[in-house]
Amino acid sequence: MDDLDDPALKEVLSRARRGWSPTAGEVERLRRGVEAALATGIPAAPPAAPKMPAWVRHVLVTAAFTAAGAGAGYWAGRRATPPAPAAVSAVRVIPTAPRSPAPAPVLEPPAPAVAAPPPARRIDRARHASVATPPPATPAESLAVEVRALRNIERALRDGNPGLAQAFLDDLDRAVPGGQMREERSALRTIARCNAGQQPFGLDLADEFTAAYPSSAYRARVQQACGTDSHSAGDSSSRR
Amino acid sequence: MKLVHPDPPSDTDQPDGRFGAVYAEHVGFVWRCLRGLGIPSAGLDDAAQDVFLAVHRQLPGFRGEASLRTWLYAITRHVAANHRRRDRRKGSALTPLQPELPSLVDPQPGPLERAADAQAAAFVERFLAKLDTKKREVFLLAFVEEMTIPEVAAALSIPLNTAYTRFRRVRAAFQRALERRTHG
Repeated sequence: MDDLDDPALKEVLSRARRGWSPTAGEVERLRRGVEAALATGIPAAPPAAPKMPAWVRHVLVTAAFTAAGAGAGYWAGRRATPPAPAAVSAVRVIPTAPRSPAPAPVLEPPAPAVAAPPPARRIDRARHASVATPPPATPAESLAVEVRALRNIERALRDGNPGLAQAFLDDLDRAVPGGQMREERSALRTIARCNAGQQPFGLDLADEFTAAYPSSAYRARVQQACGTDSHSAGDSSSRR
Repeated sequence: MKLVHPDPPSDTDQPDGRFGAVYAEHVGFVWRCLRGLGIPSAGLDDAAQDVFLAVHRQLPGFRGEASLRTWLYAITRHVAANHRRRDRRKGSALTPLQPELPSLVDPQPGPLERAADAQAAAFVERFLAKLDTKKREVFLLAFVEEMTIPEVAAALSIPLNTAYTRFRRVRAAFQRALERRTHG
């Protein structure tokens, strides 16, 4: 930067820079999102174009940017109208694992029916949006946010991505502090920590959860995730 | 700009370790530019992801004709414009440059430091909101991102003298705003 020597000005700018920078959690969440998109369907960089006359290049570049302006440019493959049906399945970011046939307690609340899945790429979009929306104004909105977020967290866990699930839980805690579904949040948090191998030495997370919610329907699942389900044979039968 | 990955590229960086290095080194730059260009917090994830996917596609063609940050800014600016256009079409209540407090997940600085950072960020955002787009971009690049004026001129594709003129005007306006903040 040229010619900026005023200390007060420099301090304000330095602080603003820090205030604008992404947190470690945001950097990690973004990295996972980009990796998932790249791993599952964003077309690889096109091969080097053969030599062509300058005017042809100009026309092609102009056309490409025009298309981008219309919503189908650089990342046409990831928009709502993908170029080919095959790409739709290819770009699905977080595949939904088949649901267990067992009557295990399901962390997704039963309320709204699950709509038909949108085009693959949108799953990730919707998931991010669900946890990144501004704080809801009414209890009904809060509950809707919680329901959507918990579903996405559940999906991340099923996909074997406990770190992402924890990031979503952090987002949800910020967007809807407390909330109406604390038991579900606590269960998912415990499962995510155990799946991520974050169980502190000498501390049984499943026991903590069970102590807080002794009659929880999620107890068996939590115990299974934390490796303590041998204590409760009755729970394991309900899970399978 | 030399691309050096601070850590060995992980599996997820493969097959293009260079992309991982660009991400690690410039994610903050992209994020701040998106904020400065009016993308609200709720849309930052989405927009930043778009930027890096475009970077991934185009990086093999990047031959260093421009500095990497200049090149990244061109992509970021394009993505931000697309997102704003899309949000306008959807009629969402996007309010560009509305001051927002940063999230409180990163416990590194103390709460007082974070509060001061948030206040400064909000002050700068309010100042940016009063600028037209041309001056806003100069402020963002020269003041927030500490680019040199020749870099700013290259990033915005404007003549060097124009960049200097805008820089001087923005600096004077910012200093006036700062004085009002200090003494008002």
